[in-house]
Amino acid sequence: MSLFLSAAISGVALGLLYGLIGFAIVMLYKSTGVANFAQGSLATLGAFVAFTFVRDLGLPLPVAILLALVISAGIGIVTFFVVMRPRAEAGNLNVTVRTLGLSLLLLALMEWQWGPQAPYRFPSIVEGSGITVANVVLTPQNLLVAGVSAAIAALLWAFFRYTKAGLSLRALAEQPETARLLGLRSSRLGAMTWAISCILGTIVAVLLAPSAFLLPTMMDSYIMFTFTGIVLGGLTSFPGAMLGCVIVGIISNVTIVAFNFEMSVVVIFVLMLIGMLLKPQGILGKPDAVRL
Amino acid sequence: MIAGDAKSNTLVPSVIIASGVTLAGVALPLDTSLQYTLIASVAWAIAAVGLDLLVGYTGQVSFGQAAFVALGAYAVTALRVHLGFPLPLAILVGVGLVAGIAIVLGSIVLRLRIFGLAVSTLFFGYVVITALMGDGLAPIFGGSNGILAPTFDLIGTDPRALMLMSGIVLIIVVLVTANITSSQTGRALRMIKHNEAVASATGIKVKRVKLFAFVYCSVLAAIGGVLYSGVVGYLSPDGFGIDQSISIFAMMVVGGAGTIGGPILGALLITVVPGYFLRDGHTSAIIFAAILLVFLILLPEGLYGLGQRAIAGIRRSLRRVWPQRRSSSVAVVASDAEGEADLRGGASRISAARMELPGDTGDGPALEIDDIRVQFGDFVALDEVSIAVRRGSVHAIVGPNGAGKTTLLNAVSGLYVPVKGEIRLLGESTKGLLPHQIRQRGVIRTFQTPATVPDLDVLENVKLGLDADERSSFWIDFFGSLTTRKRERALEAEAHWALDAVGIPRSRRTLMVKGLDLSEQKRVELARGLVGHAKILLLDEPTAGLSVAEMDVLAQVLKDVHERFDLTIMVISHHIGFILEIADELTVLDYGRVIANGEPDEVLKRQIVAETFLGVEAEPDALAQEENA
Repeated sequence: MSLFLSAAISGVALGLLYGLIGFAIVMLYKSTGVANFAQGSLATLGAFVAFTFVRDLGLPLPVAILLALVISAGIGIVTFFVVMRPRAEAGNLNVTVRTLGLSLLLLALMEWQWGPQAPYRFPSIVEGSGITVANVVLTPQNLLVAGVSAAIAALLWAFFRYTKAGLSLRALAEQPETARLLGLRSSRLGAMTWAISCILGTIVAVLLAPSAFLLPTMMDSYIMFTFTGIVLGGLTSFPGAMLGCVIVGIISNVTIVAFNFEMSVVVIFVLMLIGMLLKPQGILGKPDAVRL
Repeated sequence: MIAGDAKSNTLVPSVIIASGVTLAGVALPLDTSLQYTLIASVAWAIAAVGLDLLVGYTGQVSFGQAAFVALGAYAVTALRVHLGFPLPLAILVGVGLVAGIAIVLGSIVLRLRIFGLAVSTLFFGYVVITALMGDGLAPIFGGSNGILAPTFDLIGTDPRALMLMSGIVLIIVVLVTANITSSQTGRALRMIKHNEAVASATGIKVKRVKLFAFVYCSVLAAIGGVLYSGVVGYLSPDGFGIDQSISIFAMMVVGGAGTIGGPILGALLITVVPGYFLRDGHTSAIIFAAILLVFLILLPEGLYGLGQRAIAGIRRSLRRVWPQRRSSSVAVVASDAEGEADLRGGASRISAARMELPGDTGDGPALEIDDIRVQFGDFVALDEVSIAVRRGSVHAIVGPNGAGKTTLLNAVSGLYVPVKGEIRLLGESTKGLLPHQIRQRGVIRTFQTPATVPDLDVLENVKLGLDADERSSFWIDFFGSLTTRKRERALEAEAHWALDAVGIPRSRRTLMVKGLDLSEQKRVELARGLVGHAKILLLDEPTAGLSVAEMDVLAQVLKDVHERFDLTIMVISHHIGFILEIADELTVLDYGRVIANGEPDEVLKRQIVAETFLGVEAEPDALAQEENA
């Protein structure tokens, strides 16, 4: 029983990580109508950048992570201007498939550069034996994930509530046309959205890498579970995405412990279908009304 | 809309493309490796053509196409290997199984919009591959080691015979798909792509048609999979992963979505270039992704569009060389004027036939809205609204923006369901009826922005209005003009009289609707309603955006069809002059409630109406807003 309980607890931590990526995906979806399928590969790339700094340049881990975050932001901005913005009028499907193409391109580049020797062992960020509460061990990794997630959630909340850039992004997400007419600079904001998405992705990948081993396809199953969490929680709701992702994190972890990985994939898929049948707009999502 | 315009008349170019590939594969002296790559690309092309029907024509998405290819290949192979089924039976059962899976999956995931559909189909692909890789099904499917697929009887491993067979299957698939897209079903698909709500109000059974497209797409994938298994001789889950699903999607995009022939070209480019010319895994993966991105960003129309533009350019320069070709286009213009001249004659001829239709005899109101309330979450859009529309009358609805006028029409046409109250059509309650069922009872609807299908021509748009009265089997749509010619001719005749009735000249009926002006688009939409044996016409701001002259034309057209076809009309308009000219009765809505009802002249004189609608007592800037609205 305590095995399941600790699986559930690390599931919560995992779900929080999904939630952070989910947050990036929802933000992009709300402001541009594009589902970013490249989020996983972009995140993995960030982790590889940090790893290279540590292994090849011998930088201390915190410095390497910090540098990787800065570089991720740059990659996000370049992605926006090179891949997303040109001829965006070709439609949302076109741009969504571009993210899939980008994902394949990044994956191919990472396989070419780092693939042959993968998987790598990514250094742990925290050491120690953790805290024991009523027979259940809270590992330092789980505590770190929970702490970072809470901190980032608070930071993002403040950002979207109090800063001009955050408010502008919200305006763009709610009413893109009106926001543009009011003079918000949509390309600058778009670039910022991509930078934030990539930073969030890198944070998640760096937190995952110590326990998941670093390899180019590391995020494949994670990104799938993240999307499931978003669909379950509601496509357009930030708290919904977080909630859905945590549910998925717990259930996937418990089914892996109870059965195996394949079973957990099937269970999560069935969960998604049931969610779609019962609440197509998601747990906290609003049904979208069509204007006629 | 998610993808660009779909193309009409793709049958000939697409069959040429498919035959060209087949001929090249059979006749050219290619080395065996290239030959096998080519045959594999034909198998993928079949899956990509299926995907085109779903994405390019219906506007839905599937990112799990490779999983359906895998299911087809594995099911047929397993049936042959483990149960010893002969090939034809194995194909029948195997493809049937895939169709069954597609029906179950489709009826769940097609309820979602694009995002949910994309995620769930992608996930489905992931589940299928994980299951095939896993140990649980390994005894049947070989797990990650894969399974040997027996060769096809009669054909064996001779590459030319395999190529010929795959090519013939491809040509048949192209023929059938092109037939479907240019049939009544195809028009319905393209309307759904443009706007589902409008499609259902026009009488299309949206869920069923979407499911058909999804199942068709999956079945073609399975057929491609069967061919693939016979060509490669060995199946491993690796070849059908998410990246392959994306590859198939890429084939369609690179070739050109909504073209049928394009995806074949895309399949060739994406399979042959990285697979044969660049055998090194890393480089080929990088080049493939780069090709995809370049096409998506720089050439969203794809290879097909590129070819079409090139051919158009060649024609133009040919015309410059032989200027006599111009004369034919001049002749067309001349005959246009004649067509316009006998317009009235055509209309009166039709109206005589129309009179023989059994009309309704009864004295009650045509439409009774009885104390309804419509709510969105906490927001009450309509409350305690009761309106009786007399049979044969023109009933106008006015009110400021946000008063709930369009919501009222949406409730009548079944797009919104009132939480309270009842709507009766000719005495019968519409409770529990879906939009297309209400449409079948004779309620026709137009929308604020004309809800026509921009990439279909005028005639085809009007034919869509007859979908609800469609009696013949939809299977005949598979065989093209062989089986549909008679019906198409009948539909065309009806479309022509409706267009006569609304005064769209013959010369403009073969144009794409997006090339018409707003007033014409509105009349095309009206014609689409008229063909469908309308009893009650719901018009949502037909005057918005029209000039005074255009408004006069519209008023004449409406008066004319109202009298000739014995219609009851409910019309929303902001234009008082227009209302006074055509309306028998007027209802004023404000904040979701009826505030006045009666003779138009009399109602407009009331103080409360003057205040809310005309803004007499209101602030000057509020008045300006009213006028802008």
